Amino acid sequence: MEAIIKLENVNFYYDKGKPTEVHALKDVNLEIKAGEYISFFGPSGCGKSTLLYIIAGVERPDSGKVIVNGQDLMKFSSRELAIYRQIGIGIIFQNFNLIPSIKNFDNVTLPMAFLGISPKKREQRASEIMARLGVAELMDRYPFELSGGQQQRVSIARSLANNPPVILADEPIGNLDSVNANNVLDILKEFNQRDGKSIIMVTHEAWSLKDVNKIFYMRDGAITKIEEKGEKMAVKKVGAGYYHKNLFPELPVIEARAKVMASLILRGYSQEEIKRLEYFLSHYLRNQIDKETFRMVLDRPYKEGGVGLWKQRAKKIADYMENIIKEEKELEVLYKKLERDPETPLYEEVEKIQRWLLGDFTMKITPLQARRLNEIVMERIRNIILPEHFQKILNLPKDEGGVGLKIRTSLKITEKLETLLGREGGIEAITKTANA
Amino acid sequence: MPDLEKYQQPQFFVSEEKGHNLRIGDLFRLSLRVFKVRPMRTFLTILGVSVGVGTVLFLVSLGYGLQYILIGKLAATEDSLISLETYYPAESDLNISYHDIDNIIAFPETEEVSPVGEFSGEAKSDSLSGFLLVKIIKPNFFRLSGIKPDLGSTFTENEKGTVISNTALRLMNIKEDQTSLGKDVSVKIFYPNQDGLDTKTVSIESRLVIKGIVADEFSPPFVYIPSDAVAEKPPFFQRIFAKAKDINTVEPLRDKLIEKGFLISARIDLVNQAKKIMVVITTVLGIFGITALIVSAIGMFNTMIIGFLERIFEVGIMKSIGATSRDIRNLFLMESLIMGLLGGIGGILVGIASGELFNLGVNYLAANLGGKPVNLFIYPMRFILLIITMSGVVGVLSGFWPARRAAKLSAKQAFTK
Repeated sequence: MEAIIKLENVNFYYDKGKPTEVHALKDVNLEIKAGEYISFFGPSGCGKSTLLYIIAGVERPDSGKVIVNGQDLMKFSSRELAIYRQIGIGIIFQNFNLIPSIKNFDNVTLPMAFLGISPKKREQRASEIMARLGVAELMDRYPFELSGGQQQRVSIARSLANNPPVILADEPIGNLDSVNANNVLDILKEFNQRDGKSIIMVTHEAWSLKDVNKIFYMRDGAITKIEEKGEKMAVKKVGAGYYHKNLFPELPVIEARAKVMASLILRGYSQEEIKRLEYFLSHYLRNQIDKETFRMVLDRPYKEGGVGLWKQRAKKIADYMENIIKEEKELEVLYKKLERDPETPLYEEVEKIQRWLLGDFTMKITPLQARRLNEIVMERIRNIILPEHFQKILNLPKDEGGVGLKIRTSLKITEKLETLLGREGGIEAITKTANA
Repeated sequence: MPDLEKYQQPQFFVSEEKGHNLRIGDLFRLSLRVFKVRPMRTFLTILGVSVGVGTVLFLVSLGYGLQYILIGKLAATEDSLISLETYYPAESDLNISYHDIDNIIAFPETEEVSPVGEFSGEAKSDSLSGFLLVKIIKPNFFRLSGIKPDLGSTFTENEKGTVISNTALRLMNIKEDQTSLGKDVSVKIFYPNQDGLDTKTVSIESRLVIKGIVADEFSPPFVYIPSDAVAEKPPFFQRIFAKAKDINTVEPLRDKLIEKGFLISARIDLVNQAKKIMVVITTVLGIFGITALIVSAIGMFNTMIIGFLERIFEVGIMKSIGATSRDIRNLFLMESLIMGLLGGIGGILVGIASGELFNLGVNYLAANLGGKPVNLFIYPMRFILLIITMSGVVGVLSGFWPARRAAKLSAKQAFTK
């Protein structure tokens, strides 16, 4: 079959000609066929998102050709590019990027409005697609009233509004908990298999590659390997470790192991935090530090050179690693185990903790307050802020960036959170109750 | 593997819909977001424009109002504007004779004339009498001269009577108000003899009913009486109002009269003079108003720039999901147009409200001081329409630069933030 998207010798620089120049894409050549579900897979900063936005006609490469459906995007006027974005592609973002000031329904109809479709047709189409994605009842709400998973489904509906043949997904599950992440992956798979949409997904999370047909491994702005998943591979059901080995073939086993485990354990944390865990983990795996030191550096605040986990979680991870080393399991087995039973991602935990924290109080909080509370709970858990900071922000008025709670309430909530963080198995208990 | 049979070859760049741009209705709907996102700021900006536009309207309609009052006073009747008040220079010692009148009537440019004879006389009420100036006129005098009684009405051919000045009433100890209308006076006229040394007294056959009162504190007391009521015709006249056939014959008529040695005083000259002065006054008032409008336009410009800076991210998202540069530009322009127009409408309310309030205050003062109520403000419809258009233009202009910048933004902005 003809390639629907074809890149020839594409080079892209950031800040070209300045001291900060970065050669983000180096002689990239690739072909994507109609109906394929492919992924650009690689670590942060490897240029995979840049590549996606070049295909989206958002970035213009410094050299090379971008051929879409036989036409060179480089020769398009800005209006033609806009029309291409209207009907040629649909984009899904990591942080959803719904327009906050209009209702979800209007967000979904917006691409159709840009195309100039009549309001009647728009309504019909938006209702259809939103119903299919299970967000029909959220039509009349605003994006900030939705959970991350719901927002992402609305944004998928938006990307499909004009029924484009290609869907571009930039880290679509990066901001989602595991349940919602799986849900989004299922939706992408369905639109690929049932509707024949070509899907290009950018990801750094190996486990999200499960439904992909073809993987472009990327490092430092270049495609290092292209792998087509045949029937065999699909049957074998390879784990995340397999992809990481493909991505970093030169790394010693221990480093690769540390890398993949760090990113699985700290899902939802920042890249810097993950890198730091990876560093300590590789030392621990090599037996260069003992378990107690490992636990201590996990617990130590980020500013002081640690990973910044709170005490209880540090201990849990240290115990976990100790087991792994003792059992000396095969790498593959480990990955699979982690994948099947991943550490609860931070987002889910924070949501649950927030609900638990507010459980005793009758007051209502606004979406803004909820978001702020989430942020500081997350920062407290990651040991970025101290209990007294936490309490202070709770009490600070809303327009000064605080949550705007009364002083008594904020003292109580702080106390409640601290007993939880200090108690053995506290969070698990809450998580279990919340799940039940 | 994907089910490729269901997949149809993509039809890029072919769409049944032709537009590829936002419709007007969508532009409008999307632009209204500002009222939801930033209600306070939007309201304040519109209020600012309203105050600016309101000031323009207040000052300019004051100018119009003053002009109307002044010119209305000057040009009381349409005929008075094409009538020429004709008299011999005082130093010539000449009076207008019947022969002169016939000559003037004979001009092809003349439509009609109204001679005025002014003589000393005496008016007498119940008991008191006073010396005054008697002006013998024909009823068409009021129409041609543009003079109107401030109280009551004029007399006509059929309904004889008199129009008298308030100072003349004072002489006879008659109240200078409404209640005096309908009272009657008897008038005597002293015609000079041919030698000019002696006088001949002529009495009016019957008493004359006061039909109108002219308020005039500055002239000596006088009374208008119809010439029909005078048994003996005046020997000569002091002045004559000659009405031209139409506005185009005013100047030829004036030339001919000047040729005959007359002096001319034309109302239309006064009106033209007054108009020139009023244009200057209205312009000065307008400039004050425009200054206020410029200040509020700068405020609005500022709001639009802030709005632009805040929405760089949003513009990026919109562009990445298919908005053309034109859509983005139109969105910003529509927003500023709406704000400008609302400012214009608000300004008209502010301007009219403050004008009426001011007028009320002035009239309250005037009533207390014994003056007549006036309407200082006039709001011509075409000026109101002009103001709405202008505020729309101000809106579009202040949104122009942010709109252009927003349109030029790359979709990339959505992701680099």
